Amino acid sequence: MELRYDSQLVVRVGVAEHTVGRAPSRMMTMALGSCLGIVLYERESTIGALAHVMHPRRALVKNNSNRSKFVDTAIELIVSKMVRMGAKRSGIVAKIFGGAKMFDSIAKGGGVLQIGDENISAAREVLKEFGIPIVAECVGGSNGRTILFDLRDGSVVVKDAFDNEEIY
Amino acid sequence: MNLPNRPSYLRIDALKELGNIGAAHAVTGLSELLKKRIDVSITNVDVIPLQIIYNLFNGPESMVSVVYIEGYSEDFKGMMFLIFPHPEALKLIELATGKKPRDENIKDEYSLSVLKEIGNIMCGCYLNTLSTFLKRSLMHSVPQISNDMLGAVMDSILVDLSLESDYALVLETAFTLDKDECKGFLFFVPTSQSLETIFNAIGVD
Repeated sequence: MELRYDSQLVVRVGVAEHTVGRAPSRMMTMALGSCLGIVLYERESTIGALAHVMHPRRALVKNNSNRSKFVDTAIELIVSKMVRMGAKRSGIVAKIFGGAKMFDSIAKGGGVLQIGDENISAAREVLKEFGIPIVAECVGGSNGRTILFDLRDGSVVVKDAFDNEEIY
Repeated sequence: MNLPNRPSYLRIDALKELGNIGAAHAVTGLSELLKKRIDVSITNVDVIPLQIIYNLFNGPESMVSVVYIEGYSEDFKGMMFLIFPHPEALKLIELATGKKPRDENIKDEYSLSVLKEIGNIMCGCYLNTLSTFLKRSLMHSVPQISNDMLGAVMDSILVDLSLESDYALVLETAFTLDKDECKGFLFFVPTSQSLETIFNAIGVD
């Protein structure tokens, strides 16, 4: 992912990608389903990060070379990048989005389609381990979400497929 | 990133043929239901990065209706999904029932079950054809439907595949109803172990 530190452009974060930046840049990720959008922000330095992760834990998966695919490794990665950029470690707060259940259930192999819930609880656990408080969240449900993260004030606009908008 | 091996041309051709026959049966099922002529494109078989699926149509945010069914037996598992871009799904419901869906967003039970049934018929016919070739009976899951952004729906389906690899072998067929009334896409994605089952069964090395 391309990093733009001083630009008004919106940085698009794809599936299993992440980006780190500082105000006045903005970041967005489209169509979160069972995936999780993890937003970290440190108000004083206006440094923030957005990761679009798919799976709860890296250790459980064979195809694991991409660290921004997993809740645990992605958080580790973006926290260290933010700190390296000058963010105060103790000032970082988190917002999480996504983790929806897009299908009711699946007769066989039902486990995987509940991955959204697993992602949410993994994010809560990992953020707790890191001592990062979750200040807002819009998770679960059965709707896809697109999120737009504005690093100027740390706000996140959440949009669903039917054009309902909410600010977190 | 580890690039997967592309199957030999012979294997790709065999899969194409299998896909064509499967899709033809699937579409015949729909055609009988709607009493309409339907044109089918040649099945495309390729190993593609999963990312490509997120970027079909107008990208991850495009509204789609997806019916998802899994076909499986002891040594075989394949995912089938039928995708209709949102406007096409609305038209299809109207064609099948004779009236416009009550809810523009296709969230009402009735429209959902119409689409589910169409998925059931099409995927069922496709899987039946496969089961003839594979000489084993294939079970299939209850159809699941989701109307939402393409990316969001595909997340839940592809997450399973992405545990193994960032690439998948995909059989894709597009079909169009008479006079361009309505368009749909049928995808079949066998797991890598199931591919071996297929090739063994049809005798292609």
